[in-house]
Amino acid sequence: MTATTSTKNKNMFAVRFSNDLKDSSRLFWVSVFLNVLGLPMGVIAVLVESYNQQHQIYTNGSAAFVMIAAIALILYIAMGIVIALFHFRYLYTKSIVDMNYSLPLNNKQRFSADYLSGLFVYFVPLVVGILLALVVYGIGSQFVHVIEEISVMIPHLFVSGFIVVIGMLMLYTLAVLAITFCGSTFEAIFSVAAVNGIIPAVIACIWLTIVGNNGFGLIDTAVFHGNPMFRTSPIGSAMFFGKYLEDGFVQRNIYDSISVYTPEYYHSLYIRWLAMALIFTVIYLCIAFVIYSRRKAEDVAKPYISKVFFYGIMSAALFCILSLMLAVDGNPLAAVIVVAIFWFIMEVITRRGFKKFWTAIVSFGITVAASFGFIGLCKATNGFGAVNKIPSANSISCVNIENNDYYSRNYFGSDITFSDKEVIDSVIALHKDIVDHYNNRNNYEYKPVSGTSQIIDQTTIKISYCTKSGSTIERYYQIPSYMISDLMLKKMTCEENAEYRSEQMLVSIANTKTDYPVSNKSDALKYMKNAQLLVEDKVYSDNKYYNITKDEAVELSEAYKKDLMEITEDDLKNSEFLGYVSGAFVLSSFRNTLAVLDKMNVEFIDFNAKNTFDRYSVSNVEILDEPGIVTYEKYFYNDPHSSGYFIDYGRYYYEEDNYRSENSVDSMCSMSSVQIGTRGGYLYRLYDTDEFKELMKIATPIIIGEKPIAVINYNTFGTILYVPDRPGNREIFDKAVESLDLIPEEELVQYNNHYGYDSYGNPMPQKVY
Amino acid sequence: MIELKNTVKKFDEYTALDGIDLKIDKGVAFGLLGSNGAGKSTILRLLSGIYSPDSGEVLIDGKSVFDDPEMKQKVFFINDETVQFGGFTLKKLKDYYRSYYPNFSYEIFETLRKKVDLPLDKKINTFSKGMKRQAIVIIGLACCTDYLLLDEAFDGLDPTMRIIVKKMLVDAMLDRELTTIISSHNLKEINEVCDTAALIHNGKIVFSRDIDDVKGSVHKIQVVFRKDENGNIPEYKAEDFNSDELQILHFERSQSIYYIIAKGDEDVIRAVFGSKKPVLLEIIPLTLEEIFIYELEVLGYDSNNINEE
Repeated sequence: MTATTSTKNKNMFAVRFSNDLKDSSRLFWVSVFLNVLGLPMGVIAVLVESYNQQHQIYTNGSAAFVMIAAIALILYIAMGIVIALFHFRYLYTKSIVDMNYSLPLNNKQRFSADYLSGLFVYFVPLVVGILLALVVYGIGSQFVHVIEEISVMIPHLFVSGFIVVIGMLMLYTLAVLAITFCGSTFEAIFSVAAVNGIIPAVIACIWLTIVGNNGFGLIDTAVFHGNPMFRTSPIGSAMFFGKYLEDGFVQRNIYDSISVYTPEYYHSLYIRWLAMALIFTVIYLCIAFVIYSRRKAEDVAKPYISKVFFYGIMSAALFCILSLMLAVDGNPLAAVIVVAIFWFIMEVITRRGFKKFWTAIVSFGITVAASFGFIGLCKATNGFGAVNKIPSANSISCVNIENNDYYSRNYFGSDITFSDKEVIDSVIALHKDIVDHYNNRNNYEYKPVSGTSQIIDQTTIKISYCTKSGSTIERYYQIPSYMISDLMLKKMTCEENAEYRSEQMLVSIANTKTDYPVSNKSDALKYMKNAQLLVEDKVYSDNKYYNITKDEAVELSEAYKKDLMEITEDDLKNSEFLGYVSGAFVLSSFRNTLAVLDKMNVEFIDFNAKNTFDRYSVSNVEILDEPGIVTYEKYFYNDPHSSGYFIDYGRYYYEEDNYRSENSVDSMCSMSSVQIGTRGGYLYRLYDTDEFKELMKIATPIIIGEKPIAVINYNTFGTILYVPDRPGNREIFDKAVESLDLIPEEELVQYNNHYGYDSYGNPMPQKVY
Repeated sequence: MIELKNTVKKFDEYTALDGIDLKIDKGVAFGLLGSNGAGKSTILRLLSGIYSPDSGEVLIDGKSVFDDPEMKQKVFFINDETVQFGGFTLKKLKDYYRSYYPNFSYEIFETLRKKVDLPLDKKINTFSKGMKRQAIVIIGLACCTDYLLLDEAFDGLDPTMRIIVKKMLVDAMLDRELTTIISSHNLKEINEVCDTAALIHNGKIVFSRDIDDVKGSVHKIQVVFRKDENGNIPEYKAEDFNSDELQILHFERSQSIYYIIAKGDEDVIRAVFGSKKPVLLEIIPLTLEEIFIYELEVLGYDSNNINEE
């Protein structure tokens, strides 16, 4: 028998690949088993739930299936780490190093075969699970009518599923990367966990550091739905999956204010995410291969092959712990002690003792200094320019505006996404104005508040820009309401707003009579049979229901939409405020709406004090004559407490007088106004006088960009009406007040806070005759 | 042919091989001798492409073997561990290696397997130590590579097993000009199987020669010198006999008998010692083990020194 020189040209990659598959057959079957328990069980849960609903069986029959499916799927996803550890075990298991490295393979063949065979073992069972789930669904849906809400979302679930797949790919690849720079089993497992956790942790902590140090307007939670978080790690992918899934449901639900995306932006976001997540995965893979190629067989059992990566992870972890400690405690010394304990324990473990320990002390010092330096730089640069960052109008796809409103009840200034150019321009102008107030405080005049009669005016606004590049920029401010006047006008007069509010009206009407609550227009049209229309007066003190048909409801909402699209600034400012129809305000300029209401014999309710008195035992009203509008300078300071998170090394802004001082402004926007309270009003006994009725006709909840001459506060109903400064209104007001009786001071002590005290708990001063 | 040219291999600050030069011709049975930690296993791992040299060259048939699948197919390395094969059955192990080595001979495998009666379908971790060793040697031989590297291959084998394994190797060497490199502390086996050997100490080659030449060049001398006029036995030292042609490796006296280990030609020895008119002069051939001990003693690797430490 003689040895002959081989002339066969074997594909060594293929040989290694097939041997790896044979070697990991057990893992493959475990993955298959978990997938059989996963998606198909989820489908069974849906079928069981649908069956129960169909037959009105109200038990938790599907809960067990859901639990099995969830646990199985979580375990299956975690298999990505197990498979990576198994396929690359020769990198940290000394006894099999020779066997693997002596085989006739080069690094490229070995790495690619091990990586790809692992992918095969990881993902092929998923295909099995999906196919089985489809078969179960196909068969099951023949016998059970699947809940429509779920059946409609199946395509969306399928699309969202790709996010999970890419996230799993990233998880597996990151696990391989972590293993390439380890030399022992403990380090491999620890590093896999560390790498997966450290990426989102660092992103979160960097952002939170920026927010906590001169982070005017920045929102700490914004990091958890931003692209850097979503695209760079499996944990981020899971967050994106949750958000994408939720937004997909929310796209059909106008009441849920979580979604900030238009459908077009939402879908483009998905494509961008897929592309970027894949790019990051490829980057991780390339880094893994570079480290793999450079490491040597004899590196097994050595502590951390790549010192760069080891110290990179350690430094990142140190920074995260330090920044969080500073946030929680604010004490730098305590933070340094905690991170020192962490650092030196890790150094002792990886050095297997105290060899050359002085280098560990030096590296610790450098890392701590760098971390504090970064934090200081955040402060000095206003969050690396984040505070002053305002996107250009051309770069924005859509903008979501969310602001609280005393009158909101989801009807005023709620949470809508706009792609209207004028609205976007107005938002940017407001944003610039706010930032300018922050940067150039000395350029703005802060007048002291005079007079005892005051409206405490404050509003909040959250702006979410969705840019064309796929990022979301979020800001949150507290500002005086007058700043938002122009934006509010632009909002109210644009088509998107009209569409949104007419849909709100239709849904509100539909929900008076449907078997199940509906939350969007298509469901309202589907499930509404007949309905009731609710008409309320402008202070919500009186109401009446009218029975209407579905067609009438549709006609009304369409008419309302038309009116809103034709509304002008003059209408908002000068039309008579007639009342509310199923929660939607109606002005005298809404001719289409009024025509439909007239056809249905629906009438608005005039304010009637006697009715109010009889029905609600309300006998008082607070009236403020020539009130000052009070805001605070502090809105334009960076108040760490307002973000509720970081403390700036113990320095508290609110101790400074300037920060707290009140400021008097000359106008307000009641459509976006959170009223903290009133001060210095007078309490009158409520009589049903003609003069007062006349006053109630001109009083309106809507005041935009002007200062009212008087305010009427119906505390019982949480309603405030403003008397605009129009010709003749002053006389009407004076006559109305004269027709009422001031409640004597001695009677005030019998009332609760709402009646005898102002919003600060001070007894309300009364007129002295 | 295998060549190591000024090869240096370090593990962090420890230098395992310090610029060694070694040539191993094709078809020989080469023994690697050395103290513990001398660098024997390192050489084998360099030759099998597991390690890469820090400097210098490691060539097989003129080409570097590291990261080269084609060159690695010419080499089969059997290390001193067997735990890595524990989960395999012999059949699976055969299939595993057959996929990597295109020259794998099923006939050789079966012939050898039947000779030692190893079961195909039992897991290797149920085998005895000797059986595990046999199994991997059979696989190694069946792969029909040009070079077979064995690291401490005979350790743990009973005498009969050793004979069987040695016979397998010898048959293969005779059949197909297999070049075998064996690293072992069992110098008796190296003596029996190998025709060439190298002694390594502290990462350097002490010698690399034909074993017969080695044995022929180092001798044990027992000599008794004639008493002088006063009836005393003459006091000689090693330096009294060292010359260019004769190197004294070990010089010891016990009463009247001098026990000397010397490297040099036998005729030279007779001439040098004969000039002192000894009463008794015996030249005894040394075993390889004795040569090993005495050669390293000169280099300071001495059991007496270790005891003193």
